[in-house]
Amino acid sequence: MVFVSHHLEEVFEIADRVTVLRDAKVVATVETKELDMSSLIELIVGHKVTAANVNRTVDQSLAPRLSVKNLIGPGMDNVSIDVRPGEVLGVAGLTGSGRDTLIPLLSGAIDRIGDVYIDGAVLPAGSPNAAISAGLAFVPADRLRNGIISMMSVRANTTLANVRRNASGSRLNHKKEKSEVNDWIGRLSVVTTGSEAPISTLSGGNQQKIMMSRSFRLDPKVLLLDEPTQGVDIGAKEEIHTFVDSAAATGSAVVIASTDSGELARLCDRVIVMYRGQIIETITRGEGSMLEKIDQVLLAGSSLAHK
Amino acid sequence: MSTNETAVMRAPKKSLLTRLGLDRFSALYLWGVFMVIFGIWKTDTFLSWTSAKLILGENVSIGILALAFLIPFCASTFDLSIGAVMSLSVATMCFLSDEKSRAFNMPAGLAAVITLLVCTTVGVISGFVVVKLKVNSFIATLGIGQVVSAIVLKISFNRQITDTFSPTFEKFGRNQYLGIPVVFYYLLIAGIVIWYIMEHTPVGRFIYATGGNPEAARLAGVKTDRIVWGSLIASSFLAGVAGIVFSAKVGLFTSATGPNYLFPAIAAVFFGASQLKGRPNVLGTFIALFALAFGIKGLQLVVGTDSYWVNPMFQGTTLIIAVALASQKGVARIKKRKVQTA
Repeated sequence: MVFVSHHLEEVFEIADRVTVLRDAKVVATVETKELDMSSLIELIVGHKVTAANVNRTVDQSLAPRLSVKNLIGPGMDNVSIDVRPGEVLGVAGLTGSGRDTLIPLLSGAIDRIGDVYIDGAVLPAGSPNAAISAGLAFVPADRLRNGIISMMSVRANTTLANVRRNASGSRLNHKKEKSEVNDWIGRLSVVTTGSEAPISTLSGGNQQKIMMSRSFRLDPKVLLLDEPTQGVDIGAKEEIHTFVDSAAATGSAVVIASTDSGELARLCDRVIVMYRGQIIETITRGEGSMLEKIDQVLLAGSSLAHK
Repeated sequence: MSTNETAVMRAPKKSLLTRLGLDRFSALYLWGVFMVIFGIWKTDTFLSWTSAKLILGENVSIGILALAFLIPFCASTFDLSIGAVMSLSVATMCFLSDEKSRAFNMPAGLAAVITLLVCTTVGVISGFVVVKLKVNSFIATLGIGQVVSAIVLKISFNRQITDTFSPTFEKFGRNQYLGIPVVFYYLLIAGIVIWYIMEHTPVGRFIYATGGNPEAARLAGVKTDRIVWGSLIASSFLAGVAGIVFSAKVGLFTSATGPNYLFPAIAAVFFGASQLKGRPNVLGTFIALFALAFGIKGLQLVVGTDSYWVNPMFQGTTLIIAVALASQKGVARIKKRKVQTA
């Protein structure tokens, strides 16, 4: 049987032998039992990946950048959250727990009840356009349905949330736009033939990097990421994570909803675990292994669900 | 690393078909084929400046109507009411200018302004039905087109209206400039304006984004409702313009005027969408429009006096062939994407 995946745990569970392909070439074929996770990742990425240690201290005396009060909506039952500048907040939970609707509710993708403030100013509900103008940027889950516009170029996809930046009056400056997009391609090391390539020719991970640059280029006060590395290979995943770190370093308040507990443990200062529309646990960095704690609470939650 | 990457991303070998541009430039090739075949077959009549001028002039209203169809179509919205709106435009022009039976006797300029207002109102209503009542644009504009046709029949009493316009107004439709019918320049100007909007302004980008993936566009901050509504207003405005140009050129109203122009306009846009960029675009539309027009003219000359069936036959078959070719490309693209995401 041939099993193709970038879910590496599954590879270890199922496969006897692993063949790693990189840049259209076979890098290695190895017996699974001779490998461990980090050496497999090294083969895939091409260099050693050291789990970055986040050395961030969030200044708790600062006023919250993002403040959510009594949020109600599909799957969301009266939730309040504060996120401070430079803080990365993780949202864990099973599908249907509220984890999957928090970011659509905040970004205006779906309508909500309850007040949301960015730097104290009210964020209008139900309008992504108004949210973007207020300084909020977001990367939706389900890139193919809600993210990319597959018939358009890398360039048009990158700049879509603020096309006017590269326009003087109502005239688009194509040259300026191309050079800005090529800049982003370089910064996120996107694998593509260039800014004019149709986005559909990019791999999932590289499409996701374009989605990231669409948001990052807005210099957002608040950055919301919904499953940012779903269907993304391990190399692109680490690059996306590094970029999230840098967004927090510039003072954005970042919220990440993810089903990948490892990702949350890697990125977040604080993780809330949701269950039936409410926050059932808050885990803060520095209180032992975040990953274990998140998984414990998730497991407890799912056993509750099966009762 | 970077050298490896470029190696990976090098474009795959292109087939002979792609290299000759038979897919992206099929309309140009087709045009060439028509010129050669009918040029040899009917040398004196087909290859004459007179027949070229005739074709250029005859297709202006269809061309403007094609631009009208193109704008909402780029936003994945159909406007099938434009034929009826063009008819409304001609009828309103005649109605307002007619001195004999109705005593309006308005100067043509004022009549044109009112006509455009009336036509644009139809677009406002279509936009409301599509955006606010959330009726599929195909159905909504089909229905509104019927209602508009009814109004046209009512104000025209289903009769041919002739001799209502002043000679000055008709000059705007019948004169020539540099040996080319003056109306052709109107089409050229309209085409350039719309090409500029679609390719060189943020609004054009928003229209294509809305057409490509409405939900993704909305989430990226594009006001997609406004884009759809606005594109329907623009299309009915242009259909109004097509009617005014027709009035100046032909000078008479029959109830068949607009509806008969809808199909060739749509055919040009669909055929044109498979040209050049592989998406609906102004230049492709124009090339397709005139490739078809020259083909039809050639066939008419060959067939001779019984040529009334040539138009629909030719337009119908070419539309189907063009769209079939385009969807083959689309199918290939989807297959390719599936391979990548797997």
